[in-house]
Amino acid sequence: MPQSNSTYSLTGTDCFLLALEKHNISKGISGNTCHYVLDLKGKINSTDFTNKLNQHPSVQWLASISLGKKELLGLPVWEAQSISQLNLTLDTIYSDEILPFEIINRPISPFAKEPLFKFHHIERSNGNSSIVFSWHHLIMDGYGALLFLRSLDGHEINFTNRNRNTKADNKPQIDKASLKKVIKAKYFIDQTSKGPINFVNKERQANVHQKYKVLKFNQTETQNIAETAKQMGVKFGLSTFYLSTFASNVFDLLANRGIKVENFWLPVPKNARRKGAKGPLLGNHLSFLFYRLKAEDFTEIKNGIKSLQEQMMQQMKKDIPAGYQLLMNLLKRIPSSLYYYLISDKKRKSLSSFLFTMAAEHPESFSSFCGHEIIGALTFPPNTYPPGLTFAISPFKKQLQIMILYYEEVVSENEMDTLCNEIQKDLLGLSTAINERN
Amino acid sequence: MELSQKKIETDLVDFIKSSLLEEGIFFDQNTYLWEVGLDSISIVSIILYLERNYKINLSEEDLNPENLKSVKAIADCCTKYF
Repeated sequence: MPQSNSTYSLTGTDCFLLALEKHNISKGISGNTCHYVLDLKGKINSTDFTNKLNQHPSVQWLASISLGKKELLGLPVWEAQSISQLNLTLDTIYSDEILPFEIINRPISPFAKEPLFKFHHIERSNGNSSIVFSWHHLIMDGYGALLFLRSLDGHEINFTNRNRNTKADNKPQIDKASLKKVIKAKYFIDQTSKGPINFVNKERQANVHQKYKVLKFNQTETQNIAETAKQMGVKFGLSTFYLSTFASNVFDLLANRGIKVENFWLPVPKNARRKGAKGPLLGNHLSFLFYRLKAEDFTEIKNGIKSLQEQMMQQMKKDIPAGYQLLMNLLKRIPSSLYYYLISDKKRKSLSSFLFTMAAEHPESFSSFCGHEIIGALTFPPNTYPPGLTFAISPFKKQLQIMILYYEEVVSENEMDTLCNEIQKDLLGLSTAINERN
Repeated sequence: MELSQKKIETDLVDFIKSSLLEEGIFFDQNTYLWEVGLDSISIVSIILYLERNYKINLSEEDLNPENLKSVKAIADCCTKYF
């Protein structure tokens, strides 16, 4: 357990998210809030669970974390204060909705004097329960949240692998080779993100309302999807199949609006930790791959897969994700307004055409929580607005689960119904003939 | 250059353990890559390791999920390039 009364510097990705939070996504109602839903067998005693939370050292430590005051050109830091007594409350909701409206549209602010996370207890009509852990994306990524939840059941984790913030930590460390990587990554991003780029969102609106759909597939269907992916030319992993399917359906959605789609541009997050890592919990440890999909990539899903696989290979060869991570680390010191000015393009409606993220499968070894069997688990990433349409993959027990988060101001209900139907057909290989688009 | 399948397997297992996996996670040439959470990006890293270390370019036909399921399968597929 890390010490209280310590400071920890934000990662490069954290600072990127902080700049967005301050200057862009505050207009979105959900902000940058994520949710992890654990479906549990049987009823939870909410008083016992609340007491457990308030007495647990992991929860006390995380609740003590807040953004520190940033000195000019200094590193932004988290401050961990010592807490004598924690008084978290647990709201109980009676609902059969996976994520009830009051949770998904309740933002958590990193600037409020409250913990950057919240728990909800949902009682289901079939006698089961769910615990929803919601957190602000700035404090941790999805993998960190999984580690945190596991720590509540005694699983050993590393809270932070960074030393306490010292003067030595504040010295920028960059050598010639790293600088070369940074320049290469910046040049690559500038070139690949050049217009014309199409976005799913229309003009920005101040008040938007978030919704979601969950597409669940059983084990046989999930195996069929993997088989379809193979037939479509997937070589190393299903992510390119999913992304190509989503992109071609968003292409159709925009085409039905009468929009001539020329290009999509998407940054896709990549977990920068080693596989099986027990930490760090605090902060976002992500880099990104950047994909540009051209109109010809949508004529058939397999064309999109081919293009995505080639782009993935090229970017890994050029070390773009590492270069971009270094770039984000270099930008940590600059004021967030300048940071936002540097990363945003005023002519654009959004930083991405739409959003896509893929979580690792819920670990088999994480099969119970607070004495209750885990019968389902779903990770909801933040749905940043704009663009306000996010596709997320979160498998559970070898069963594919797709979350589509959207704002009703970005995608209408009719459009969403069509999108869900077409995606299911495409994934299962049930679409009529090969998808002829144009 | 002559390289035995055993040598490629040893090199690949060492690379994966030292670069992609957390310390202490069991991994050998027969472990399925997906079992330890190695995803598409990890597999691309493994392909690039082969290209850089052995100066081989796996053909389009060889890059398929069956050949990329374990270190043993990858090494088996690589031997014909030497």
